[in-house]
Amino acid sequence: MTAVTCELCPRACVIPEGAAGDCRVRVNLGGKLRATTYGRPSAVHIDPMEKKPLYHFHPGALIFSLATAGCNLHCLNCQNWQLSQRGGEEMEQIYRAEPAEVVAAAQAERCRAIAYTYSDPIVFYEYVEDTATLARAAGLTNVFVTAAYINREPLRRLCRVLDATNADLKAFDDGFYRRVNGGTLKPVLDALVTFRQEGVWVEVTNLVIPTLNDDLAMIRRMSRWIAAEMGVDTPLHFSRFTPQYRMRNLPPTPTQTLERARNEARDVGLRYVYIGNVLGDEGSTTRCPRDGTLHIRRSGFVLTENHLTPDGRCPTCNDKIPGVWS
Amino acid sequence: MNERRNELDSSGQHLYRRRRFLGIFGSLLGGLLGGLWALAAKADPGAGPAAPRELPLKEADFYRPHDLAG
Repeated sequence: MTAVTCELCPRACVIPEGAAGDCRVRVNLGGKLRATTYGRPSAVHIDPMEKKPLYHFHPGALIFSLATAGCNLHCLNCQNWQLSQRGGEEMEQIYRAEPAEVVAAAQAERCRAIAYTYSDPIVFYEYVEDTATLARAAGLTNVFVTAAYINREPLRRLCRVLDATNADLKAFDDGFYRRVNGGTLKPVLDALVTFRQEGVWVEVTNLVIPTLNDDLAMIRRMSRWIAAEMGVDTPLHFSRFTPQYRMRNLPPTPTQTLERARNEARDVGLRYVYIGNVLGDEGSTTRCPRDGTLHIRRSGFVLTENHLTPDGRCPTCNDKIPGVWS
Repeated sequence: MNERRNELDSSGQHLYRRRRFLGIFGSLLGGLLGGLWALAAKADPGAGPAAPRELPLKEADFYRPHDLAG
């Protein structure tokens, strides 16, 4: 009986023959680790880019989005737990779509990008890599929506075919990661830095949960770290919590809490700070940090106004606005 | 004498002629459809939801045999 050690993520699961890793989808069969959801997505949708959320990457574009079962974190508040907290064999719906078929479908639906999303695409790494390689050759871009709990070497290799990521930074507190997500903080911070070093466009999302990670001093420390390590031009999205899965005992995040978090982040120098999962457009509006000119207005996931020049400059001061615009 | 063979319907037609015609026509139609189905199945035997595509399990990257202590 040959056990194997999975080296994809920091869990380093030791997997006996016939068993799966903590993610439920990487299985040891006969001493070989198999990616059991390769080519077997369980969720396929066409979304607006703003839903990822990516606000500085091809605004208004459609993005072909897919996911398989499984995840290497176990967040008590997971929004997609029916998908992420199951193995492939537990899914009601499993499609068959090899990488070339995914790319062809994305093109047929007039999407300009493919998102690996919903669950954590880390656990279907090989499927992402093969699909993204073909997608890039076909002129599509690749977006990785992730909690970034991945080892450095696999991530560096994957970055060669990624164009953008929205990465969760769930809290700036290792204890929070251990209690709420079943992970740890440091590998996530390392992964965010790796994304930046490898030239992937990065936007960060922080889901603010009442009483658990809404401490303004912690939000300030997190924002300072982002400014120092990722750069002040890194868009940061404060997202509203709603009761989900095993965390139904807490109320939705008050809008004032999100606004206070946004103010803290802007105080330490971050220039593009947004509020998500909230009705109302000011928190999701992009303005020029220099002169306040309206650049992009959004309503929910819909882009309603775009005044940037085609090469992503402010129409008033001509400053280049960081992002991927054309 | 078989009375049925001489039975007339309301339009004056012999009923047995209509039954014989329907029988022959039904057989021809059934044979034709059966033949078409057989040809279609031969041309594409994997078609239909009851015969899923083969998709072998992909070997994963980034793992190694576990080193036992001792």
